[in-house]
Amino acid sequence: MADGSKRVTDVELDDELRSLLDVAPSAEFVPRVRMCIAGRQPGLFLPTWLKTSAVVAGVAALALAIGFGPYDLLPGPTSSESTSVQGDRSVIGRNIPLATPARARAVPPVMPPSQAPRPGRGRPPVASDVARLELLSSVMFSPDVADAYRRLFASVSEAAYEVPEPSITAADDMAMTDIEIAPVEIEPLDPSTVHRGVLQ
Amino acid sequence: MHEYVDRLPDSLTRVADDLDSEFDRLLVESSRLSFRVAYGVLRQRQDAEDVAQEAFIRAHRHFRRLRNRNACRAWIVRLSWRLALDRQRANRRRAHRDDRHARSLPATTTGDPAIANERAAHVWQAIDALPEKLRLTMVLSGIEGHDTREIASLLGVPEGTVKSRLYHARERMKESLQWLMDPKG
Repeated sequence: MADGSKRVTDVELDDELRSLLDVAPSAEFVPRVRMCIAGRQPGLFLPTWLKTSAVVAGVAALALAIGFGPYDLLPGPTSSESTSVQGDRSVIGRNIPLATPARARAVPPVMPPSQAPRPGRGRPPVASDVARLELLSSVMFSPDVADAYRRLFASVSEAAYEVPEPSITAADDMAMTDIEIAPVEIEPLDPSTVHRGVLQ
Repeated sequence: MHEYVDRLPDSLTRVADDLDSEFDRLLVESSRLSFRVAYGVLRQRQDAEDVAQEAFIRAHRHFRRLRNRNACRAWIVRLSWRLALDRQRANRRRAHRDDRHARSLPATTTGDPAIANERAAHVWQAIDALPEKLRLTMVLSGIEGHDTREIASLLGVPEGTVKSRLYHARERMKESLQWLMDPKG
């Protein structure tokens, strides 16, 4: 070289590199790897897409269980009830039943107003309605009140109630003709609109 | 063998045994190559063995699902290279945390006899200065018995690409080593 420095050749470079990389693992390396592999439990050889699908299905089932739990099966409390409900949340939480499949079958789901059965045109009340009402009472009322309702429902279903004979008093025995009713006079509120026939 | 394998029918057990023997053959054939590739990055025998071991464990985990088992040797080489780079970065971070003065020291000068002399240290520095693609190609060419065709098959690139990379890598290393070995420098 012109400046006197030594230029490295390809052969020198390759020899240098070869000598640097002329190393070998220890004799225990291969047996150690064999031991490590043998000591590991063989995994369950499932395809990746199958594992992913299982995880997605699990999450979806959990979301359904939460989204369609007992809270959504029941109508929301009225304004007066919500005040009492908020007063004792511990009681409410303790009385909320779990969303089991059997309960889901027993309690009919809440439908939108357009699809809900109209009063008087729907089917007659069945046992599931009683169960639903019991479920409702367990959520809306305290345990004591709920127990009272349960006893009431049970007595009604078994016809184990007694109606006392009403006692007839003198006022009840009075004929309608004995009562004087003063005639009622109806006057229009605004006399100016009477002759024009305006509805008030 | 594992208890579940013992319950398999004989034919399936034979398949599992064949796979194990095939992988064991691969382990014996490629252990030195994997170790050298890792050593080319880490320059620490123990670290290189750990990295090579991890590479084989991962390879065994996926070995049954490999469609082309002939390419497993190349896969192990690339995996060893990647794991070694990760280990090198982790070592540097740890050294940086432990001692701030370690930043000024080369991470490779930790007492290994192979790089004890100054010339070897210069060569390693020149290799470290190469871009990653050129560096891996250069290391593979330095491992005995690997010509350009075999390097091309290991890297999954055409042979001309390997030749080009080797040419550029050598030129850069010559420049680095000339500057380092220059008595005036």
